[in-house]
Amino acid sequence: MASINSKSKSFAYRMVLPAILLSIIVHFLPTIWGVIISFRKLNVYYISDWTKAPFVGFANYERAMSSLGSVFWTSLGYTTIFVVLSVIGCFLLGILGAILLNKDFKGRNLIRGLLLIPFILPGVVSLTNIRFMLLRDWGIVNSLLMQIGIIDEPISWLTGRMALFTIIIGNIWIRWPLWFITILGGLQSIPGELYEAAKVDGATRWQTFKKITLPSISPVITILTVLTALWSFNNFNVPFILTGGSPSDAANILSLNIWIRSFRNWDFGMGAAMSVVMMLFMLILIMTYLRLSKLEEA
Amino acid sequence: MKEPKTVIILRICGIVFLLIFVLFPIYWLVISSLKYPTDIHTMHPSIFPDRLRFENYLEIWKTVPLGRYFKNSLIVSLSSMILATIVSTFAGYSLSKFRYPGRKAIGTAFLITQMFPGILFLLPYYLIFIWIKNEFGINLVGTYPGLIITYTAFVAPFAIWVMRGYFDTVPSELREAALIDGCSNFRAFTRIILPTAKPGIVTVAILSFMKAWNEVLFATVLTNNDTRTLPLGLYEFQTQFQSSWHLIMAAGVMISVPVIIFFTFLQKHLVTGFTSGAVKG
Repeated sequence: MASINSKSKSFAYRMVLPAILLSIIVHFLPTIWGVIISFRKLNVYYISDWTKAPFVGFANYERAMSSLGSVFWTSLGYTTIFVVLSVIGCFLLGILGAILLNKDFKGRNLIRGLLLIPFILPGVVSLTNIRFMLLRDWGIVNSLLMQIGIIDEPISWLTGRMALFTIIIGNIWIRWPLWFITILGGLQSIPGELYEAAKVDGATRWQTFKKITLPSISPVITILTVLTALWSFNNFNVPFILTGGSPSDAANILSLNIWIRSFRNWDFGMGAAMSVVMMLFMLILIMTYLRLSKLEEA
Repeated sequence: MKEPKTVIILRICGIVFLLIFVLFPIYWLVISSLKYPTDIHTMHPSIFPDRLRFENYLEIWKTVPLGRYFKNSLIVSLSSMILATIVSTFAGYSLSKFRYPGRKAIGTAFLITQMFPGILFLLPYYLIFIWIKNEFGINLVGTYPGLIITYTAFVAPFAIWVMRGYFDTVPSELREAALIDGCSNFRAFTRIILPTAKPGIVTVAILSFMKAWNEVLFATVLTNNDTRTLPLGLYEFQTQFQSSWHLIMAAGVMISVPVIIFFTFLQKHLVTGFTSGAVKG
């Protein structure tokens, strides 16, 4: 048996090796490299031979957080709002859809397929389309709102403070189907006997939901929350496309902010420093969340 | 089990709300792609236009080399789909069915990669490509392999997580029985285990195809005129024809068609893949 075991072990290592190599080359090395860059004065003069960029200690970090970077803190604040509201929106819509479709009825598969469209539609297309619908002068949303009489003047959805709201809606629109389908899967794996037993015991709908449904989907929710938070935090497409690449302060969330700092102002050192702070912030946020959700389970 | 009337009505209202939320934007995308420029660039565009203009779909191919972008996206997406599916199926199987030192750490490491901001490693990644070119004479910037490796790695962590969850649901006895029968580990995997994992594999294949089909940020840096992919093409469209929304929308529909077809055929598998695998967390 021992020989089979050691054989299996080496087999297992070989199976996972390609994925590890890929992650090291594409994720880990460049990220470490990025951290190194955050301590260097890497700008357009040094980009052709970046190894010569002078080491400046924490100067980039100081710049990012001080006067020049007061933008950074505002941006971090808006990014946090963006992430938190996106997760909440995805959760609400996802659980609503999953509960509504958890029952068998005619046409259920069709509706399920239709609701999944945003998930498969290329993000660029969805976001361009949402931008188009929210244009101030040609957008259908303003047109409808004005015809119904809710507003008198067209709203600028894509600029100013409204833009934050718009990128949150856009982000939710493209992400909620993943929640919907995963939670639905979770619901369908709950054995029907559990519900029947609860019914026999005279439990109300709310009690059944709280005691049976929620606990059995909570592991899925935890992982969805973490992934959605990370993906939204790092998201570049949503603000970039919805604002056309020149965001107002409220929509200038971190990834886009850093991209502008790096690739428009050619200040790679500071861009890298901002990214590192963002990564640490994200790490703290996620760790806190995971600890809290573990506490709740215990 | 009969439901009270109020519950049924609430259910219908909820479903209608979700359908409108999802389908109206899609309807708007499609109908706008068929409008005349004067019908679209107006304060109150009509929801049911009187006339349709199918020429939009011919025009888009003339203005921007969309055909070439299509070819590029197909090559890159299909290749990374195949590569990512193989890599993550292997890794997911290893992490799910074997116990060995470092297994947990490896699993966590894959999850951690999701935390790295793309924006942080975009530039270093580019610099590494340049370094490889200078040291080894292999050019990766602006080539298919450069993009394919990148997208494979991007989708791998999530794909591994899905596959691992899926393999968790396949009984371990299957493998053990095959080993006792004298199968090698690899043979047991390809002959016995893989066929049972079809929904998971399909899920991962779709996910990785879509990732490559949709990616923008890295494509802006890693492609050139010859290898530019579709999402960038659409963006280029927008900047070049700022006020030709009928063409932008038509191009958007064209870009979506392949994934929609792909998905319609595989929808059933996708759903089972998610529902049985991902639930495990």
